[in-house]
Amino acid sequence: MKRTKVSRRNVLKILGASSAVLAAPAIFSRAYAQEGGFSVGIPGGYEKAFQNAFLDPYAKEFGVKPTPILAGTSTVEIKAQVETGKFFYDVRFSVAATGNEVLSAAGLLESIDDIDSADVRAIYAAMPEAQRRATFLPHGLSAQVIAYQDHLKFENYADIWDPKKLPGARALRGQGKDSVEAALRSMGKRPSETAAFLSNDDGWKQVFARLDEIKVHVTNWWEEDSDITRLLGAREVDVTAFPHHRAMAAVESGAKIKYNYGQSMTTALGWVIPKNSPQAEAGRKFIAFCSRPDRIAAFTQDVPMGPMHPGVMALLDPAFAAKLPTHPDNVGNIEAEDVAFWHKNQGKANERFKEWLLG
Amino acid sequence: MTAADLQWQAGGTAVRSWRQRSFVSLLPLIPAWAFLLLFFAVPLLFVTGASIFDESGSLSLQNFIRLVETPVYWRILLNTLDIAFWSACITVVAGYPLARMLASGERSGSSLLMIAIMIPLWTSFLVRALAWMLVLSRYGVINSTMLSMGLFDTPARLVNNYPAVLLAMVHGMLPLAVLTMYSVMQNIDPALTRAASTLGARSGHAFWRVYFPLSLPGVASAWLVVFVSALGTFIVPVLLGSPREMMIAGSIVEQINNNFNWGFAGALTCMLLGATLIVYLVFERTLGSSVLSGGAASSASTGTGKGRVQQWMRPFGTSILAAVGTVTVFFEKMLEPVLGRRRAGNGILLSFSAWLLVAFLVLPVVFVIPVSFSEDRFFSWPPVGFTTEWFEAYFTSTVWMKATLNSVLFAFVSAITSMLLGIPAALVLARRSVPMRALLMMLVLMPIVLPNVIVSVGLFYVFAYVNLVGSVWAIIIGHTVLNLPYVIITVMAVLKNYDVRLDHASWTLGASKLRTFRLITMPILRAGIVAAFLFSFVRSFDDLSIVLFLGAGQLSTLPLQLWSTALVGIDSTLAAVSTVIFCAVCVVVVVATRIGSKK
Repeated sequence: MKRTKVSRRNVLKILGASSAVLAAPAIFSRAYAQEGGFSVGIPGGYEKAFQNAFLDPYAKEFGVKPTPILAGTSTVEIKAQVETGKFFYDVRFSVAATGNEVLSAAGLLESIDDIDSADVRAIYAAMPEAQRRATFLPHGLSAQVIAYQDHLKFENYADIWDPKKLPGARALRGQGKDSVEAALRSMGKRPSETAAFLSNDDGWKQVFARLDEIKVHVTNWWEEDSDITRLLGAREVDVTAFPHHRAMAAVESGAKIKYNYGQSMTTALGWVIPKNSPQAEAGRKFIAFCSRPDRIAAFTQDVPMGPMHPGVMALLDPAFAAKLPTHPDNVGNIEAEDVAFWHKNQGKANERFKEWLLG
Repeated sequence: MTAADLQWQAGGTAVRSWRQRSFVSLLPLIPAWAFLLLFFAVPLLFVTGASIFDESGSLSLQNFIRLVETPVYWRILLNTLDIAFWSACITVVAGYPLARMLASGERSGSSLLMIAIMIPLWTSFLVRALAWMLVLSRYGVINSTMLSMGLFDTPARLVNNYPAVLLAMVHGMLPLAVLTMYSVMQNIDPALTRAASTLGARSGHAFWRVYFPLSLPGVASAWLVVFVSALGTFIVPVLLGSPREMMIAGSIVEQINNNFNWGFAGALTCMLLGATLIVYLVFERTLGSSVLSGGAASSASTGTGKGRVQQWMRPFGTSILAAVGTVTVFFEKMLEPVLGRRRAGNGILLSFSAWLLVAFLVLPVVFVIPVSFSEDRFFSWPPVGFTTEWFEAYFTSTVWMKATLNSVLFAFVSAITSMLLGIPAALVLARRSVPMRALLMMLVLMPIVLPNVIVSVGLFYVFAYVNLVGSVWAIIIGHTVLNLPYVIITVMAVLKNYDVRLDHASWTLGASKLRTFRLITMPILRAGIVAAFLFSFVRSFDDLSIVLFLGAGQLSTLPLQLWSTALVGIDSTLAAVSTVIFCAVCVVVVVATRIGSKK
């Protein structure tokens, strides 16, 4: 019988070799940190656009190449990093304004409003006072648009709530905040009126009564933007409200849908730096670089979020710019969500909403 | 049953001598439990620990009080248990004929059977859900076919309801159930059934009164594995269900991700684990201990409640099986004039239902193949045009290739690790009376029940202390936590029918313990070990959150890449990737069975 003998020496050899192979990437990653480079957390799906608009130009200009890190849910990741002191990214891209509210309230973020850059100041200045946050610098706006199959015509939320006039499969996001806001729009309330209207239980009752009207006509309570994009593209759903840049990308890719900015509520997406990040200084420099109008314009061409820097529109192709929510033609239709209100009420609202959904 | 009793009385002295060496004989358990304690229980405390504090950081029961007072979570928990229960029952019943057919070892078509079983196992959970969308959606395969044939006037609503969720669950879980049952059935001596027929039993009786009871350990552990796996799902109900199919794992993840309420997430986790524990205890007390967790060991402790319940139940079981046998024989006799005695007895129904299941397993995934060549980017039916764009995107990208290699590496190493830890533990658990068995079993089941996010977040805190975050080891350990339970349960199931006297005989004949293990135990365990390896490999191959979090974004795997492209929602690379995996699995299985049959 010819067989390799299982001797102590052989086993040790195998163990040694395999652990060397397995340990290699760990060694690499530590070497990276020593070079004085820094890492940027980027949500899945944006890697290519981010590389072209920010990482490569930054490396070209400063000779330091930031490491892109594929990131998941910002809140969990940043909490774990700050609490353990083990940072796998020094800057995080594209955190929602609500996410910043949560993280900042928990003291998990560095202030970045004092970055010495005219572009950063310009972006802050362009925001309404109530929405400025020291720990959060927006890089773009995501606006909810009403999107529908192109043989139909939905103009506003009241149309979504009118299945007699406009039959079809409706979809809403299966989250309390999104569905409550949609119901409020259908009642003619603006995003800035949400807090006042929901300040007492009577308001909540009215909203849920309004939701009752639509419940049976909603075929999909979706969770992820990507899911609803697919559902619209595959004609599974006739009408929904979802982010404008998703709608634009879907149309670009051949989806037979139309959309409009009627009563559009916006969410700001922006940069944050985790508290005590060892490379915070490098991160601030990177954020300043990425806030330059030419960089935002380059990113916007790939991922068409609404630029908030007033200098960006002029750099974009006018026909393309006209489709963006922050374009002068659309800006009258959009209004920012009440981040402070939802930070306080999101959990309760969602619980009540889930109970209603199950009922 | 009396035979078993006699055997036990005879073995009484043996039991006593084991007792003296009980500590030594329990040693093989230690690595597995030390591993689970260190890398699962401790990390879990980091996540659930928050549940006993209030916002100000002082000790408080407020999270649990709120949980008790909020009926919505109880309803979601009931939903979860309901879906998991029925998924497990349907999967086991549906999978039985397939497992039996596989175990009967007919050469013809056995590799096709294997491919069919492997397909859903190897397809990413996301692709599986999307494949069902493709089949069931408004303009999906079924509706568009029916509409074009004029059978429907308007598209039927086949998705976003309870049956759709069950269908997709059963589809995803069938491989698990079939392979678990198969590994037990493989060791049932076919001579027993033949002996029954020689003694005049018709095949209906021979099956129900001889074969079926012997296969019960497989059935029970298959049920348990599917049940606990189903408890932790949340993608399927979101994509294919309606709000009525909301499941608790989704609520836990939501509390952590959206509401940033770790305390309440911890309370919900405790609720889910508590419910699982109750179901497990009921399971143990009724069918479980007699069939899964070492009947031999537990009957040693006679006089316990467990023993009494079983003794009380056993005659009922026997008469039920006898009755079912009689009914089967009645049908057999009815079919006889049509089919002839031999064919009726040989279970034409069995093979019919088995092949029906094969179609069920393979078809949804087959529909993904044309979609991977479609120019349409929304995973929709029917495919439009023809393009190899998605395959090019996969094969020409070093990122994708590296991710694929990483996935295979992690899966392989973590599967081997969990076998090394799990098999010795299973051997002891199945054969010895182990103190606090229910507690230990619960620790084994918990990693399957909880959403991976919980495990990975907890592990992050542990690994941060030892500077392992972002290393390959972090991922391998994380995956081993997920895999180990499958190894232990599957191997335990096979061991249930294992006759310890074979070992004794071997020792008597002068073989050493190691030699006995290698030449006697291993060959009998082979099917179970192969199944355990497969489950481990696939579970690691399909994980997203551990790689994302513990890999600290530096290590990419196939699921991570798939997830990242799927997030855009307008990319069919994932269809192409699943087509590639489909072909790879077919090739591997065909080659493996060729080699196997040559031997």
